[in-house]
Amino acid sequence: MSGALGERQRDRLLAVGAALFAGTLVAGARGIEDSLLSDSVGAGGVPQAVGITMAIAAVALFAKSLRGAVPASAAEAKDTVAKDAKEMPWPAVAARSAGLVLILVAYGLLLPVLGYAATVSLLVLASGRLAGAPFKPPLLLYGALSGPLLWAVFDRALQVRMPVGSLWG
Amino acid sequence: MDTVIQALTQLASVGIIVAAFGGVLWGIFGGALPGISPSIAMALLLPFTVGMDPTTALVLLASVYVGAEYGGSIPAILIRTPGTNSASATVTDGYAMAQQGRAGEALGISLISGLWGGLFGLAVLVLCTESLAQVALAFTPAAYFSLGILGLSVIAGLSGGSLLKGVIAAGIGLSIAFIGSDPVSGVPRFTFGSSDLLGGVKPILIMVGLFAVTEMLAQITEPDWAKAVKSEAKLKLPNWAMSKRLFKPQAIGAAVGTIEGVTPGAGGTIAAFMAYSEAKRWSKHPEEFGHGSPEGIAAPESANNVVTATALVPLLSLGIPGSNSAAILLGGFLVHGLQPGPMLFSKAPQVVYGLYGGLFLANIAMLLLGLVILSPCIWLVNRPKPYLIAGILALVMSGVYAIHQSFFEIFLVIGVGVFGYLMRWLKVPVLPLVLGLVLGFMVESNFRRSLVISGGDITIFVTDKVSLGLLLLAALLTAYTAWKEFAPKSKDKTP
Repeated sequence: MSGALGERQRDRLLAVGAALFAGTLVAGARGIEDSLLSDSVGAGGVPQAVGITMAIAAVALFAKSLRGAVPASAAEAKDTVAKDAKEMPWPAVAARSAGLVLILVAYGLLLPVLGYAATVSLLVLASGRLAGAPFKPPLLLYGALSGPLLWAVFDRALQVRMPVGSLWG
Repeated sequence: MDTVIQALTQLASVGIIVAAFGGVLWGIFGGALPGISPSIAMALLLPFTVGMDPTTALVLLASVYVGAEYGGSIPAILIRTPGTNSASATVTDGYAMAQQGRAGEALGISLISGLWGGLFGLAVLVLCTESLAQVALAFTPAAYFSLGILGLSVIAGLSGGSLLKGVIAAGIGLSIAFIGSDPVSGVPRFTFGSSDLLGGVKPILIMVGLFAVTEMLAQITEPDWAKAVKSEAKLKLPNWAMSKRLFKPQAIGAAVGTIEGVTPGAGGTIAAFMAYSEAKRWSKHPEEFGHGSPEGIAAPESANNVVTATALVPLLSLGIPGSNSAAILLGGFLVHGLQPGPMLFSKAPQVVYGLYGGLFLANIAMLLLGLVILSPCIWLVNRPKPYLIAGILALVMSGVYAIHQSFFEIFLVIGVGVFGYLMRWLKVPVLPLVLGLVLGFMVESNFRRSLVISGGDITIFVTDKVSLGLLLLAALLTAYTAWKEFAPKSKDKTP
């Protein structure tokens, strides 16, 4: 999934993200109120040190990404293009990945409502379909059986109480 | 000798026998599926081990690792697609042999070499670990802090090729470890007012998210792998003449695997490639390598199975996981309230001996199951990929809920999975993050404890000789890695 951005651009993005994270960490650590039981370092001491180290690494990474083009990059770019030609175009990759995330979030939201067996069946159906399985009897059967089968494994065999679902009372 | 006897007594436990065979079976199937690494196969089972006896759980997880290393060679040989990264070195000669109609022979060589490698690695584990742990028992808090720093710097440097990205990843892992209550004063830190975060973030959730969910997010966009031909499924063990020929490459694999296994951050993949390279150098028939040389399979397969045991040396003796799979095993320890390291030998020796016995059984199980499992493996590899992805996701999400019956944790794992996917896109290595997470408490608490002991005098970390030595080693390794990363590259004349 290289696609939209080159490696240097991604390194810069990472560096900026890491710097922001580090800044937030240091600021958050400074805001921690120490208790009377605290030692000389305090609850915020080590997080601040880690944040500063990360910030230094982020700046160094950004600087490194700005360095002049390495002579081998032309060959690397060729290899990357050749490799990417076999991959999905990046908008399709992003859409499919986002779709799976939405399916997983929906699973988490529906689990307390529909209960475990039904939600797992829907998860299997939806993710299988997204992954490219045709919406035909084999997938439908697979989905329909997954829920009750896994419920039997967890709830009965492993004695882990799985949600019944508020919809069914 | 005492250790060996203790380990052998564990073999009588039915739970451990079942765990060893079950783990190996799961590992072989998982390893045979391209994209499912040993660490993912272990991460999938991790939530299920929560309610188990600790020894049984750890044997189960370690056995998955053993099985997966053999399982990965099956698609490597049959369809030129390594099931695991460490099987990549087997592809060239393995697939070449398959094309010559010798797939069964190649698989037999892989199985036997893996067996010898696994048993050799186990011997190294048993002989070295306790001695190293005894040394570590004498460590002061300052030395423990420095050991944590050394572990982090080695992993940050060796994983993924970029020290800077490794440092960033380790920093993120440490930051996650800070969430919860301060270890000294109990003050809440980075909980954002959420009661769910007061107890901190359990490493098991991060591991499942980073390894399993992230991998499924990646797999759903990758093309399907080739299908294996069932008629090739007839395993053939090496005869006496072949076994004599394979002795040298297996020995080379064992030696390389031992060194790479005990080195944090190195791991099975590096060991496999190095073993292949050395076996070719010392072979009487180097011209055969790349064209179906049995030695080209024996060496890497021996090496990667040695690593399944030797990677546990730093984990059990020092509490530092040297590979992704060892990190998952550490997660297994933590889930059961056990802290690997020198104290483990005095607090829970039965767990260690059980693990030794279990690993022995796992290698035997790998041989026995390997003889019969080929057809079902091929059947599994040939299933439509969407069904496999859907099934694995169902297992993962079910397992996450099963840990603490928490809906919050489901969303946490999804979030971690998305973050892991982003890390993969940005080419940030995962192991430093995992190590930062699991070592965070050890590093911080020993740092602060040392300063309490010294009355706030920071020079304690250099006046303590062991601590100084470890810090110097960490500094040297970091400097070397930084020099490699920042030194100007020579001009490449490639058009």
